[in-house]
Amino acid sequence: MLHKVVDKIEWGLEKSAALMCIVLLVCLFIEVLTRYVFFTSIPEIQYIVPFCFLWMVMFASAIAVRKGTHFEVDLLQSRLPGMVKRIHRALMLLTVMAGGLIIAWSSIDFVQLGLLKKSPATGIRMIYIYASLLIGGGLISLMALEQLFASPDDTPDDIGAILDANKAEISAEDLK
Amino acid sequence: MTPEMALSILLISFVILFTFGVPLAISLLFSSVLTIAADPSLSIVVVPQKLHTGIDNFLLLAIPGFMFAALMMNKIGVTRDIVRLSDLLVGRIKGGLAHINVVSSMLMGGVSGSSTADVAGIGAILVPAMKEKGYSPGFAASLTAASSSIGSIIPPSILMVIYGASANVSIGALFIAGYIPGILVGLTQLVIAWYYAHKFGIDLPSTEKKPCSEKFEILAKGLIPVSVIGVIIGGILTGVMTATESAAVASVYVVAVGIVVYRKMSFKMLMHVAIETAMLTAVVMICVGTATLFGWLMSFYGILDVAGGLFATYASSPMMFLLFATVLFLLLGTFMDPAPAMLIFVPVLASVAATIGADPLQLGILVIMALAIGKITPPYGISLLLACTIAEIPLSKGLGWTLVFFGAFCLLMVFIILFPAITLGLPTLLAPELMGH
Repeated sequence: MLHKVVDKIEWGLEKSAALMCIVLLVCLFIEVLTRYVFFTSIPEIQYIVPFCFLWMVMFASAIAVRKGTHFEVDLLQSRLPGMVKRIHRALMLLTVMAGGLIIAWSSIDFVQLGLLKKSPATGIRMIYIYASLLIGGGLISLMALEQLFASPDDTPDDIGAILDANKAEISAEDLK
Repeated sequence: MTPEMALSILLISFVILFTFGVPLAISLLFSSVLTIAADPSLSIVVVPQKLHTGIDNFLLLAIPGFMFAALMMNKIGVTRDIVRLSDLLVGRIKGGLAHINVVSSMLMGGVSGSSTADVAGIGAILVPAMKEKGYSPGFAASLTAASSSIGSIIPPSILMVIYGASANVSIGALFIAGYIPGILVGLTQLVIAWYYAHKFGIDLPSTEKKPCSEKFEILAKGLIPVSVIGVIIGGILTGVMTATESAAVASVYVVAVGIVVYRKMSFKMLMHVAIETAMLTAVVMICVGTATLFGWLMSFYGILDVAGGLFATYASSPMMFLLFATVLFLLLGTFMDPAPAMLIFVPVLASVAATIGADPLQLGILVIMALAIGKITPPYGISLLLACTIAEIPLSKGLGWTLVFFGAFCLLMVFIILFPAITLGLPTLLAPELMGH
C-alpha cells in the first residue's frame, strides 16, 4: 500500500521537478534576452528563479533518497555480510528519516517568518519559497520510511545503469 | 561550552557518521544539529536559515544549466559527430584510435564536461575498436578513463562552478584558467598514446584518403556541437553574460540545435533530460545547503584560526600550501566524489590560501585536477571501473597503465605549482577584470 502511494508521489515529484527545472532555465534565458533585446527586466523573474530552484532541489532530493543516489561512502557497506548489511541499511535509512524530520521540524518557525517577509523585488511573501524546506524535509522522511520496507535487492546494477544511460548513437562504421 | 569542545563534537560526529555510510548531506546536518543542541547560545532556527542561504545561491544556478546542456547534447547524439571530427583531425597519426580517444574527450570536455558520459559514450565504441587494432585491453581502458578526466578541467565544468561558489572566485576566470592545464593533460596523454603505438608497432596510419566533400561535411557537423563553447566562453569573456546566464543560454541553444539541426527533440526527451538534471543538481545542492550550515558553525567556533595556525607552522609558503592541498585532494579523490570533497574542504582551504598568499585560482585548478584524476584511482575510481567494464577486464588489469597516466598527471600538477603562469597567464591576459586582484 505504502509502496503504491509513494510510487504515485514520486511520479508527481519527478514531473514537478522537471517542470521547475525547465521554467528556471527559461527564466534565466529570458532575463538575458530582455536585458539586451528589450533593454528592460522582469522583476518577477527574481522571485520565480529561487522559487523553482528551491522546490526542484527539495523534490529531487526526496526522490534521490528512494533511488539511493545521494553522495555517500559505501566502502563499509559493500564489505558487510548479508544480515549485518541489512541492519546497516535499515540504520542508514532511519538516520535519513530523522534528518528529513529535523529539516521539516526546524523549518516551522522559518516558514512562519515567511508570512511576514516579502521579496524586495516583487512584494510577494517569502512563505511560498520557505515552505519548500518544510515539505521537502517531510518528503525525504517519507521516502526513507518507504525504503525501510522495500527489498534492498530492488536496487539496480549501478555500472550497467550508468552505461545504459550514457550510451551514444555511434558505430564502428563511423571510424572508417 | 568552549569553541574547542564544540569543534570536536562537530568534526568527530561528522567523521563517524560519514565513514559509517550515512549520506553526506545527512552527516553534515546531524553533526551540525548535535553541536547546536550542545550549545545553549545557538537556536535550531539557524538550520533552515543556512540551508536556504546555501541553496539559494545565484552562482550555483549554473549547475542545472550546464548539466541540462550536457545531458541534452548526449541525447541528441553529438558524440558521433565529435568522434568523427576527432578522426578527421588526428585519425591519420600513428596510434590514431588512441589519439581520437583523447581528442574526442577534449572536445567532449568543452561541450559537456561529463566524464561519465565521456567514458560510456566514447569508450563504448573506441575501447572495442582499440582492442581490435592490437592495443591491450588494459591500455585501452586506462586511456579512456584517464582522458575522460579532461572533461572536468576544460570548461565548462560543474566542479569549477562549485569551487567558484565555495571559494568566492570568479567562475569565468576559472573557466579561462582551465584551458591550458586541460590542453596540457590532453597533450601528455597523446604523447603516451603515440609512444605505446610506436613501441608495439600497432594502429599504423591508414593510407586511405577521405574525399574533400566528406571532410567538409564532418567538419561542419562537428563544429555545430563545439560551437556551444563559443556561446558559453564568448558570453562570459565579453561580459555580456554571467556564468549562470551563459549556462541557461547554452541550454536553450542546445535545445534549438536539437530541433533545427539534429531534428531529434521531443517533449518526452525534454522532460527526461529535465528530470535527470533535477536529480543530479539536487544531490549536489542539498549537500551545499547542509555544508553551508556546517561551514558556518566551523567559522563560528574559529576553525580558521586553528587551520591558519597549523598551516603557518607546517606549510607557511604558498608553494608548500599548494602542494599540501594537492596531496590532500588527491587522497580525498580516491574515495570520495569530487563535489562533496570540495564542499567540505574548499571553504576553509580557500580562506587559509588568502592569508598565506596562495592564489585561489591556482588552488582551484589544482583541486579540480586532483579530484578529476580521483575518478580513475580505486577504490572510488568510477571512470576506470566503467572503462574496465566496457573492456571486459577486471579492475586490476587496468591498473598498470592507469599508474602511468596518474604519474603524468601528478607531474603536470607539480609544474602548475612551480609555474603559476600556466593557470594564471590566460585569465590575466584575456579577462583581468575577472581576476579580482
